[in-house]
Amino acid sequence: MSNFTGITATMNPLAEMAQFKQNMREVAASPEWRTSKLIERQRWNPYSMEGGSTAAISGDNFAIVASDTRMTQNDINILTRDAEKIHVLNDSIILSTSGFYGDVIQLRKVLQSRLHKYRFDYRADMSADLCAELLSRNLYYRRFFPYYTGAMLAGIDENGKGAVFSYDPIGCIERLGYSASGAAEPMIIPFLDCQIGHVTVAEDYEKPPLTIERAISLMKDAFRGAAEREISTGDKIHLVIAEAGKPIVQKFLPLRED
Amino acid sequence: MAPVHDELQRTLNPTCTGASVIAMQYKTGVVVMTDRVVSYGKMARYKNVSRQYKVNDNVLVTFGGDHADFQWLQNVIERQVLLWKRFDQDIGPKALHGYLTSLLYARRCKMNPLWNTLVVAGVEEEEKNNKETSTPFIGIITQKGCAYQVKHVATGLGAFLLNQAVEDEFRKKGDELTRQEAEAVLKKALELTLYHDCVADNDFEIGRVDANEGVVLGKEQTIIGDWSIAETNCQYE
Repeated sequence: MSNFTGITATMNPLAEMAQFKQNMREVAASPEWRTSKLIERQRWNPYSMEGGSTAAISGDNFAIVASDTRMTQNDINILTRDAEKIHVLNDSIILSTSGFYGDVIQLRKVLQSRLHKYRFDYRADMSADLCAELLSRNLYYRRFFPYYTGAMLAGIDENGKGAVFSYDPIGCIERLGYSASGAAEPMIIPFLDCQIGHVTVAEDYEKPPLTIERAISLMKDAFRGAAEREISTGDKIHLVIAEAGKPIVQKFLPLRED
Repeated sequence: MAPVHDELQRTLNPTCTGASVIAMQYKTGVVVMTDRVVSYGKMARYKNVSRQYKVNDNVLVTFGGDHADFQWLQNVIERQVLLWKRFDQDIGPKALHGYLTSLLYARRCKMNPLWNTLVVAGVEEEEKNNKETSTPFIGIITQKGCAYQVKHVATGLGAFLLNQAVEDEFRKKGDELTRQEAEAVLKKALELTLYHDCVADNDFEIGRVDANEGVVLGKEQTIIGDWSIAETNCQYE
């Protein structure tokens, strides 16, 4: 209303009324006493964290993925003791997730339907490498309203080697030897760094090769350790083992329930 | 004209609310308990209002959270049931749970959530017209679209107060629990919410979905509880 003159106002009373109403609405929506701090605090948060951890290790001809099965609310209340965070998408692809479970469900649904369509189009299952790229694109598609999932994709790649792909919530992808995500990530990663990466041990320290048996027992140790110290990790270990040329094996092992 | 106060047109704060829902599986079905009060803030605004909605003979949807949002949801569910009817199908609890999960997630993605925690209780027919193979089902959906299945649940403040108590009782018998035993646990649980949750009410109903009987909505019941502890436990003079 910078170029307001009395004449236009009387000439166009309807426009003036509309302007007045608009101003009233603006004031009602953001009154002066609502400071930005207050607005920030009152804003509805579309995310919630359901806790839990997952980890994955790849070897020469295998990949193993593990997670706990606890789902928590605000890190203090257990919603369920048998939530599934590892999703076997086909005979060679395993998706493991943590973070916001609503997004996890949606992401799984998107990937499953894309894999289904791929089967229709090409009459073959998608390989882990392709699915890894697909997942990255799907995560980045929601760059400005991200899927809050610490996703990892594991499986047997096109060359029959074990593969672990690790992502950030917006689709940055990296192929790693081992990875972890979720609440106990800062506890599991250093353990795997020491035992598999051998980056924190002395030069002359024994460095055993990574066999599938060793990987499985390391994984169990990692989760037992995490359950001991991290409150949203516990109840059960869900262990999924993919070995080249063999069907995927799933196991549930007991863990601390407190 | 752009809606300048559009945050006032979304449920970002619930108005008239329902409190806890407690549900439990037993051998051949599910029992669900809700109290019968609508709260406006902390005031018990309306009494004798049911929070259980019978969808068909196999499914019972119960909710905590905003009443208005759920009444809208009832309409949506009814339309979905009619859609299935057109194809000569009865919607099952699993299907409805999946549908409502997608719905609630879609609404949260629009930053316009339905302020409800839904408990979809029912009996899933694995084979048509074969009650022997039917399995009890309890599915939960939070307002943000986080969904999971359980064998026993307490939502709302009951989640903090009662989840463990209900779980302990469930673990004693597991899947062999009878209906009477499950109902006894629920009544005990309600008594506990009554003592600790200021918006819980002593008027309640226990609905059930049974493989053989179908959905049976509960009658209104009342408990008084034992308030002798109030004599010694009050912090006021």
